[in-house]
Amino acid sequence: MPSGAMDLTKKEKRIVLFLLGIPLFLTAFLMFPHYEEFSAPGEIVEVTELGIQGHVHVTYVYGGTTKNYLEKLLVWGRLAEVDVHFQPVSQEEAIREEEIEEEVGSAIQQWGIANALEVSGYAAEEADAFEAKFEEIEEKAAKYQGSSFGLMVAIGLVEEERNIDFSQAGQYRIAGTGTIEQDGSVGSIAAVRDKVETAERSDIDYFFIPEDKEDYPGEGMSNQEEAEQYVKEHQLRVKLVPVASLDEALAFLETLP
Amino acid sequence: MTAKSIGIGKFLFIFLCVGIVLSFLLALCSLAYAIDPEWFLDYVETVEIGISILSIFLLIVTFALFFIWIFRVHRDFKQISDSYPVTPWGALARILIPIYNLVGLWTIYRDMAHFLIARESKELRSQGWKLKSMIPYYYFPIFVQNILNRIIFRSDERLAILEIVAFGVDIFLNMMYIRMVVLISKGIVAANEEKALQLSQQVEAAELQEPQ
Repeated sequence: MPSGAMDLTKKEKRIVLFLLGIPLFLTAFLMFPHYEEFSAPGEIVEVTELGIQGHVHVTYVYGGTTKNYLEKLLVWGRLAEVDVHFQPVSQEEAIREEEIEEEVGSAIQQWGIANALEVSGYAAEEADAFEAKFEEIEEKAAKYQGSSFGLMVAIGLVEEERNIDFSQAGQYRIAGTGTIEQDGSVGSIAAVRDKVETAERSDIDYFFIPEDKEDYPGEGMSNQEEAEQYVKEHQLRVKLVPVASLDEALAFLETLP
Repeated sequence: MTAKSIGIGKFLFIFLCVGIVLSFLLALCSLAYAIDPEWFLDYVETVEIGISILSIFLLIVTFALFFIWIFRVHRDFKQISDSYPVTPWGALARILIPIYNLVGLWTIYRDMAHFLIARESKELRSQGWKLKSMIPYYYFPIFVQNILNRIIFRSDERLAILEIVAFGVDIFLNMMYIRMVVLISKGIVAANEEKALQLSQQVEAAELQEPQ
């Protein structure tokens, strides 16, 4: 490489260092460890996409943890249209969440699917059919995280098992959220506001939420209080249906005109 | 007369050199992915993201420097000779206007080469010929680079081997640019000296002709 023509004076060296410093500084800033949880409204999916011959919908939202400003910027860019919100978390908390998800995430989902199959009474006398359905749902639900679809999966399985259409040939759009426990009770979930917002945007008529005002296990507002407040504040059209158990949800659906 | 493009040319030279280093590191990252994707995810992915971001910012600064440099180069050529056929703004138009730049990216360097070839000095003519001979080696790889990048970005899967080829083309292109920046900078300095010499000779001749 020729050197003479490209030799730098002291002033030029300072300018070059400054110019090189700009990209370096911006990169360091974007890659600097900074943890934030994010959540944004997602979409509703008919239970048929999980291999269940039902007519109700499960609700999923976008969520996760960003580890630096670059990831935050990318998430913000990807989800800008759906109003994504961020909440700072400590590095320890974020790593712990990630480890939990890695270690027991799929187990929690399997547990939710098994509960839904059991409480819905699906193929109660046929172990093979039960097993086959479990595997089918598990495979198709692999792209989602968590078990908050438990209640709606259970309702869908009841529709399939009893050959019922709770949507009454598409007259009603029904969705919901909530885990399903072994005794058929409905458990609390995360990001309820975003799920209600998702339902509203998807023109859902009735949206099941956990009835957990009295026994919310977390801190702060229960799912029920938060969802009801959100609907009131934003004057949403969707009708919330708080339920404590699968039986309550089925009873409500059976009373629809 | 001072050549304003020389200083910027030096900065551009350094940024292109840094670009080569970063492209080489990114090629190594792609190679790591091609050999062992799991090892890559555990140890290399974060480093690769950092280098990629740095490359993007560096590329933005490099482009800015390049546009300023090409503008100043043309202003210098115009100062050396009014007959130089491209104005500074015209040069930018040749590079920036889509479709037009298909021709412009070739002719802009061809005109510089012809300008140097037409000079009296043997050294300048030699640099002009060198510059002219380099044009195809820089011009066609631009299209190859473009096509490779499109294939890579549109693919659902990561095409590590193709990425390595694309980084190879990047490195080659940066080397071509470096060579051209050096040739053009040297050409401007020599052409300036030639013009200064001509002017002093004219002054001397005029002094000799003056009546005593």
